[in-house]
Amino acid sequence: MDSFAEYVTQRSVRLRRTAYLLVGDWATAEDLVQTALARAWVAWRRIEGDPDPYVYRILTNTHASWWRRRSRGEVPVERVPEAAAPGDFTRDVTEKDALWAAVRGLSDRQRAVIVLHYFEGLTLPQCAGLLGCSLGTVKTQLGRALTRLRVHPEIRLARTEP
Amino acid sequence: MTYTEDDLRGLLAERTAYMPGKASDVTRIVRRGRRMLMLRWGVGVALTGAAAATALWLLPGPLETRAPAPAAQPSATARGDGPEAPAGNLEVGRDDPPARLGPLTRIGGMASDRSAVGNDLKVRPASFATTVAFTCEGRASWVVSSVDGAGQVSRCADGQARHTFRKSELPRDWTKKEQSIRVWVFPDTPLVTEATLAGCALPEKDKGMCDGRYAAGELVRYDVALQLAGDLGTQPGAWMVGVYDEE
Repeated sequence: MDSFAEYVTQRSVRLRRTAYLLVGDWATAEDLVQTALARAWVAWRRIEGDPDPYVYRILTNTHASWWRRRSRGEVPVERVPEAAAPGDFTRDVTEKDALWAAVRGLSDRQRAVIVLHYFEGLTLPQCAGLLGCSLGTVKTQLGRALTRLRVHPEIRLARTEP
Repeated sequence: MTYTEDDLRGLLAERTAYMPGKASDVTRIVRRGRRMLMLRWGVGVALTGAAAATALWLLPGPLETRAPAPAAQPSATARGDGPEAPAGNLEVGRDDPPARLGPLTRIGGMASDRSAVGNDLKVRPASFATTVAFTCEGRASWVVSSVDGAGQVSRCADGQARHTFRKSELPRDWTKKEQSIRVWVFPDTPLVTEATLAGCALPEKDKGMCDGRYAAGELVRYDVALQLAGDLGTQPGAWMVGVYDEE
């Protein structure tokens, strides 16, 4: 098995998950991953070392270029809706759905930062490198995204529920 | 309602836990990559044939001056005896470069009807005033001339570019023996940036790349130019180049 096939075998599942978080449906995610990997294959011989940064960069760039051209057909959620009433047994599900809807409602760039940082575990400088923008821009996008998602970075362990 | 970062991480993991379908098919991906290459090259020939042709085209090696050139291959010319002719009267890529450039005489040259290609010009300089003059069909093409990895890169602005080497860039025995000048012509492409590596957010010095694009100034390096040529594949865009020197 050549190195490209080995890479696809090992990493395509993870790439599809990341792509799904970027695009919101599995079929488009698969298409995005295949396109990104095909582009990576074209340049494979000049990739030295870990191909991940290169492939993820292609993935995010391809996603951005697709979404510049396509209508997303969904209505962005401006803010996370208020939570269900305390005691409601559907509360947890509703809260997660609300957060997910808010993630889907982020701008493409904000969602990319969220996915790369919180799902892929990349540092902010690494996110900046992949997205081809400055660290300051990434911090700004992250801050705005967290505000819209009502996520408080300083609260890591406990919820601030009344 | 306020969430924590752990809530967010948990949600992202949870939403991707179930994944329908099979793992990506490598064969399909490679097939798709090949289609991309063929589209990029803009030819309908089979990938293997095109790849082989490109590889042959890019092989380094001196041009046999005065040798007959096959169709669609660069034609090289040695010292010219013809009259000086303005480049504008020439059919770029088919005619020879002008025999004279001001007081300088042509000591070598070549023409090609394809861009994103390069070649070695073998010349016998008589002085350190050696000048390389490009004429390009693509008015924003990138042109490169280098000797032992040092040289100049510029746009073929309005279809013309002229590079004069600094004496410090040339080997000491420049006028003592036959020398090799590497020339490249690339089409105007977003793969190349005018930025220098020093100003990059993500410099890749070994690849000569700045934020994922080739830094123009690094194209004097053979390995960097070759990578760009490989990425682009041969493309339409006629050009010719003459090497001039004092008689």
